[in-house]
Amino acid sequence: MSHQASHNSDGTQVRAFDSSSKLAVILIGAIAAIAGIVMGVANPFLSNAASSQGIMIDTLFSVLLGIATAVFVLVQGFLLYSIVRFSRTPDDESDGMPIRGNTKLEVLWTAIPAIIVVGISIYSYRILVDIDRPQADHIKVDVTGRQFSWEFYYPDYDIKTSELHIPLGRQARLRLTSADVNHAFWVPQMRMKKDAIGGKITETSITGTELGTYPIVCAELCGAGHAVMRSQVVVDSGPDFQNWIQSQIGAKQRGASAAADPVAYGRQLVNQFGCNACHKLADAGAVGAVGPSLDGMGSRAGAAVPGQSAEEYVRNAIVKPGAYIVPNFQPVMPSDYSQRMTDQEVDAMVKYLLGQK
Amino acid sequence: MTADAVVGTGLIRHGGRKFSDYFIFNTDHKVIGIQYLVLSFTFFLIGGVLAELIRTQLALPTNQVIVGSRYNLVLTLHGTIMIFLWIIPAFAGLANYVIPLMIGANDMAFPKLNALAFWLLIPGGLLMMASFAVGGAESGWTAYPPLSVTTPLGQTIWAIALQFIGFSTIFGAINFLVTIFNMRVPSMGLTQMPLLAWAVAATSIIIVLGTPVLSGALLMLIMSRVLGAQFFTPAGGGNPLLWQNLFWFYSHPAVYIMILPGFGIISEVLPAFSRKPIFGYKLIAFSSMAIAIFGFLVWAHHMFTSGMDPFLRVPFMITSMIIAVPTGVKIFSWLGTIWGGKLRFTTSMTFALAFISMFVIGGLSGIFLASVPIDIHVQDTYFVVAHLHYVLFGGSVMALFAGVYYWFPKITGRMLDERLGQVHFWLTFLGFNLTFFPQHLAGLQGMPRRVFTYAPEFTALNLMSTLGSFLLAIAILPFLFNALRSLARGKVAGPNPWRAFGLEWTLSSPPPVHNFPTPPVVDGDPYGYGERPIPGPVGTPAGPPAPAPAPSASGGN
Repeated sequence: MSHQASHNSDGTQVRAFDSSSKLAVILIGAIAAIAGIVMGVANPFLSNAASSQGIMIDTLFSVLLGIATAVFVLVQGFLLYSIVRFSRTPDDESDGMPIRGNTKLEVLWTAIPAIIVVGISIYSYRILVDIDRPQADHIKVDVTGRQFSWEFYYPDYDIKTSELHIPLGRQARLRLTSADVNHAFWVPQMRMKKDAIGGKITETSITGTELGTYPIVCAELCGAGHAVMRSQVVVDSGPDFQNWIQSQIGAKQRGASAAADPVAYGRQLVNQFGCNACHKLADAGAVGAVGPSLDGMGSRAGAAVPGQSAEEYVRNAIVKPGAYIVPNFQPVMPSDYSQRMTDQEVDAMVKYLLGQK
Repeated sequence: MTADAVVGTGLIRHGGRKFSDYFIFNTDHKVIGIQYLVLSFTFFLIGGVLAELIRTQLALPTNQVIVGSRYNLVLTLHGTIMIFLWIIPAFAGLANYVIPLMIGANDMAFPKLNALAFWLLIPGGLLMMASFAVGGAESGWTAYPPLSVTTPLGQTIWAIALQFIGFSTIFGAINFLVTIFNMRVPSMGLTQMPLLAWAVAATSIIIVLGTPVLSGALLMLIMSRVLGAQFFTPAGGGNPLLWQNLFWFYSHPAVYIMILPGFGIISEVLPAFSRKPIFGYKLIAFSSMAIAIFGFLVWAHHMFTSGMDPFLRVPFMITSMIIAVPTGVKIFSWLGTIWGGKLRFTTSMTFALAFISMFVIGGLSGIFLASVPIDIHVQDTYFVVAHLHYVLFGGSVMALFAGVYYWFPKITGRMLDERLGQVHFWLTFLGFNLTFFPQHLAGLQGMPRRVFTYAPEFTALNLMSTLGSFLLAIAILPFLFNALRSLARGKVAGPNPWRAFGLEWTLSSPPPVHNFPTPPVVDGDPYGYGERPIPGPVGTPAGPPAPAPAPSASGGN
């Protein structure tokens, strides 16, 4: 601790640290240390992470939160103490102590922060290596972002879905790209994020540690519907995941013989192309709230837009969604379904929706 | 042609003698400083209205005030205006006014270039407003392609507007560099310069090295949009990441363009109201230069999740961490400055103290963002929004107000009312924290930035934030009222109302058109509190410290 002494203009010696400020320094330091430890241990800002990567990131976050809290309390403590202690009395026109610096202190408060941030860097690097480490038995998923939906392709099973399923405790290696502008794939509860960029493959991994359903959020501004570009990741138990895979394969095969059961095929299309992410449709189990409800479409489509038959209306709503916007909704539906869906798929979808009375 | 030859004639004038002198191509640095300050403050109000629109929309997740592309337009213009037409030119204006005075110069090195730099902001600002009217600049102030290549016409106008503003700052920065290094009075050595001059020099180095890169990138964007160039479009063999590299090569250093002058202001205000020399002059001056250099080595921390080479993230993490050190040094030096002082809580001082308090929060959240694994989670979330507002509002804007309250008497010759100043300060301080602190939590818990709606669980945090922003809007009213009233009938300030060191306080308030009748003589740095007598007004010998102006003695009406 510094004991810098100096002389006032009237010759009296002054000290930067008298006994009461020494006590204050010790007290502020102690409060900072305690506050740092409490915040680091409690970490009240994050709920439990749902992935092994997230758990590692949260540990790092807790350590940083502890350090940051201590520094915060230290600085605010010295600031408040100075404000109270060194406040001038109204009639005091004299100057403070003409202290211009203290080499020892300046070296200390350069070196200590430098050591701390280098330490944080090394610790962060170790966590980063662990996060990125591939596991041998991982499952592969190709993720495509487009305005404003996510598409998941499982190359090992040749199935395409609008919702991500991963088995509990097994790493999923995601290879991301974009069909149009930049997007960012983010699962807040799993703490993992990666940009999806056209013409490029980016990679990330998530390993679910808790059964459940977690939102997938687009984190890179991608246009009018950025705020509603969402999907979800479902962490299944091993057997549930296998069942889900089989049901998707089955649905795909049934799609080949669509005529056999047009209603089941329609339900499948609603989920395959991600309609369920934004629209509500009880028959297909869809509960989205971003777009208008599709329930009862068959009984009202004919009256929706003057001059359009029910069939024309439903078909346009799929292939030219911007042409007519239902009142109180936003023009955020992807406009590329005419390219992504085959003519047969569009026909089947229209027929299915018109059947919803 | 000397400056005198053009006084009062035609469209080029020198000096602010009458009201119309402020609306014309004027080559007096003091007039230009005021022109910058008034223009940028006007844009602060416009950007503020846009901010209130954003917060009104976000008060509830179901609001329909501005949604979809209109929301994106508003957030883009809010960011662009606040950065390029408020903070950067406001600092340029304040520095334009005080730097020549502080270093004993009679004007900037290139008075006409100085005026040109200001007047480029007029087409820049008008085009920026035109882009808002036309619509289309809907890709954020960062304007990432391919989105920014596909947005409607307004985006092109936006980019052209930024080109004008970019040239304005480059011209201004060249002028500051030459002025600071060539126009000082001969008796002022480098280590006797005010720390604001060091800060503005460091800022100008960044601008001169960085802004041309932004100009180049913007030109590529304009070519992509108008001529179909494929720099950033994957389908044409381009790379979207090219823009991100070029953009952040400028825009991260730009963060320091927006904070270093603030650091400089704080280093002037704290000694004057603590009655103590600045603590650790050389380390503060050196750290400004260190920040200017290191600022160019950290840009890729904005791209940690973008698919850049994974390993390259590590060196960028380390540089981003290390740049916290020179910043921390300044904070500790300022604490050392007030420690043991005789603190006087003028409004300028309260803003300066709040700056330290708030900027520390922004600095600490910056450490989290620099750590790659944490950044993976919080990148592009409201945590970043909170961080950048703690730095740019809690930091830059608080410092700007500290500077405005400090130099207003010098610039206008009138004192601002302290009670209204305190109302302004407390409303700002409370409103600011209520607005931006909750955003840290929203981001950590899963709310991305740049969204017009959000999951219902974030409603409470957003509502708080919106209420805070309304408080912030109200906070500016006492300031406006105060400034206008003081201009007309504030207490007369006299040359040195704060009893401060610094050459600007030896001149009358406002200073004469050609500043110093004879070159002043400097006998030390401007922080000689408690060591030397405060220099008297120009032409008088240094006397004992003059008493502060008693309220009754200063002729207000």
